[in-house]
Amino acid sequence: MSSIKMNSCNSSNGESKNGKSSSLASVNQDLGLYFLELARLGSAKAPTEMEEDEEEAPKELNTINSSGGFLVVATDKLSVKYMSVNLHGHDVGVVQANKPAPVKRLLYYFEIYVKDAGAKGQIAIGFTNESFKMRRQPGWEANSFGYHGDDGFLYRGHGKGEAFGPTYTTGDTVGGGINYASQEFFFTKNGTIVGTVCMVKEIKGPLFPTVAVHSLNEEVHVNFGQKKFAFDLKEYEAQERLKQQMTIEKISLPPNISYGLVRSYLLHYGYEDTLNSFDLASKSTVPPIYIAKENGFDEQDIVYALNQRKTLRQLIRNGEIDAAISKLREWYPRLFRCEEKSATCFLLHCQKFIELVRVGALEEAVKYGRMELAKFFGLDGFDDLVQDCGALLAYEHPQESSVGYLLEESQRDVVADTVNAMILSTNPNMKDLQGCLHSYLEKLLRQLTACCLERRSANGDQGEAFHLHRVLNSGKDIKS
Amino acid sequence: MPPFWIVIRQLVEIEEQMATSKKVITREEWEKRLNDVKIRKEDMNKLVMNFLVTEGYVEAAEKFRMESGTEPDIDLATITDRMAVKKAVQCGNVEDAIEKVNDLNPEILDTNPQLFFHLQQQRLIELIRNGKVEEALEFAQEELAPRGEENQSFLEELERTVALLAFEDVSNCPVGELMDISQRLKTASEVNAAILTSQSHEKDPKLPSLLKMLIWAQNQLDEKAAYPRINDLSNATLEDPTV
Repeated sequence: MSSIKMNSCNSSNGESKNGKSSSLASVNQDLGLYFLELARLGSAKAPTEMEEDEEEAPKELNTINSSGGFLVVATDKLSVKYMSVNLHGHDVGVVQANKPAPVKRLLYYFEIYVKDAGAKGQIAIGFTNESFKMRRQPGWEANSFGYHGDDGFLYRGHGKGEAFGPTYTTGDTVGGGINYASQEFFFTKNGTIVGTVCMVKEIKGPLFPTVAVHSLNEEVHVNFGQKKFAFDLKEYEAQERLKQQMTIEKISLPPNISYGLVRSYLLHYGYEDTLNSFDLASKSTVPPIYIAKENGFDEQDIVYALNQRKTLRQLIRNGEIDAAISKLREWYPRLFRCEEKSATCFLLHCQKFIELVRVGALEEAVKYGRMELAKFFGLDGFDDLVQDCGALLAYEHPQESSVGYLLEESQRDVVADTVNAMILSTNPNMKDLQGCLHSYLEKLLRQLTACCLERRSANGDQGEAFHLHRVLNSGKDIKS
Repeated sequence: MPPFWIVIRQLVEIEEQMATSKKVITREEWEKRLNDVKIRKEDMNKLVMNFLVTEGYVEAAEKFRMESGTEPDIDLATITDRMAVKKAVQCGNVEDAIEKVNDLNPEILDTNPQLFFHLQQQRLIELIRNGKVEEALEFAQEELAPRGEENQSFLEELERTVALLAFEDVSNCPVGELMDISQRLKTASEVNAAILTSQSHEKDPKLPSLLKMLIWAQNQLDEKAAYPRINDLSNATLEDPTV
């Protein structure tokens, strides 16, 4: 907790009888600051969470770094042709993609179409790294892999290939891919998997999709996904996911764990009505569900002030902010002790202002804003929200404006969650302040996300990250 | 041996150790990472709603919709019907359950011969449980035997079930498990899953899969690093890394 900034509180009202309670009060302030950040998540100016996973994928061939002289890259930068007579092993026409294969995903894949196998059909598809010698076949040199058309062999790192798949020639479509989950390369011919091969750990990435032609008139068209692939990549991806899913599904869980976590979630946020229905229903299930104390669920702390938390949430969700403030003042006066610096009070006032704008009481909103919001201006962390609130007044249709997020239902929820956390923090038995902010369920989801991220970074950033949002929204197309 | 050889040997050993020993992530570092994770409240609400809906807590789902503003991903009215079917099987009213499934959507049983067989099998079990021997025999021969002819595994199941009739004390016989309450629950959850699938809904809630995924992800990361784990899912307590 040391990283949290302590707000000094001038306790002139003398309520602070001992050191303990005053330190709790100042920490309460800091919990509120956590929600200030959440309150602006809906804003377009807030950082978005998924940006980091977007990598640029290859779109065309690299015309600068190719073995010019032997081959010609067409103006669309998607087809190559060998223009001379090959004489030896060092006049291969090689060209890489303009970008390396993206790594922060499950699979990468691209295809070539052999327009003309030319004199000898010495075509290759593969992956090479940045320092690859552009006059050699992919696979012949260290840090490269290639599937060759004339013998169907796979070459990995030296001139001697190994039997791998069928040969390919004019009219064939051949694909090369990387499976980051299984750490394998895979190759396809005319839409069917030819084989997979382990990625060598020592291979120095990043890896570029690479094609090579090596006899007169050999011509190849590359498809980086602009056109439909001959290979059903979606299906393959689904299969690969299913494989992983099967491994995971085999893991066993303690009995009724999901049930218990849902219950503690409802308790944490004060969803009392839901909780009562849930408890009632689980008594009548066959067999009835008992959450025994020895199961480890420690709910005492979250039962705390359940009904008050529920009432306040309801008021805030209905937009009755005045009523919420007066109840809160009555029940928890100490949360108002240094009102002029309290993020919770600030968020409540902002919401009151927003509710006034919602019903079109603009004059009253202006008055309220001057009285209650202006004093927060200049406080670190508060400015942006004050500004956004003020900006609501500038629009005839504020819902459609850049600050329209303030009028959304989720904004009320943030305020309700703030008040909920503040009340939880007044519980003398609360040992861990994180417990006021996060439910058990949230802690587990955070742990899951962090583990997946850490594992990926240990794997050279290869593979997918975990995003709860993505998991929840992908279910609609997966039917099993 | 000149002393610098010793030094070099020691250096090599240290290097080897460094290469094999796992990365250690302290509690402080890890907590920082946990705090950087963004989890949206609405997504957690969706996860909870998905659990309530899939597990059939219809009233709780309705209350949760009102209290949290989360929209269920399925028409709540269909949950009531589904739960009625499930409950009927759980209580041994299989005939009633079959009728209810057909009211809901006749295609469910038409397209699931295995499910239909299991329901009929459960019906046979209930007849035997109630001591209706003649009725059970008649039902087995007329309704179940023809299905057994279509499918070898059905036939084996049928024989196993009919074997119940050969024992005086069915609870202590080799096929006694069929009489167990768990058999009803198994059949009930099979019907439940089929109805959900017919409604284009996943048959299992997402939450248990995510919890399994957490266990899996922690095990995977164990190979790469020592870091604070959560071993007890029920209270989500972070435990210090063991080095």
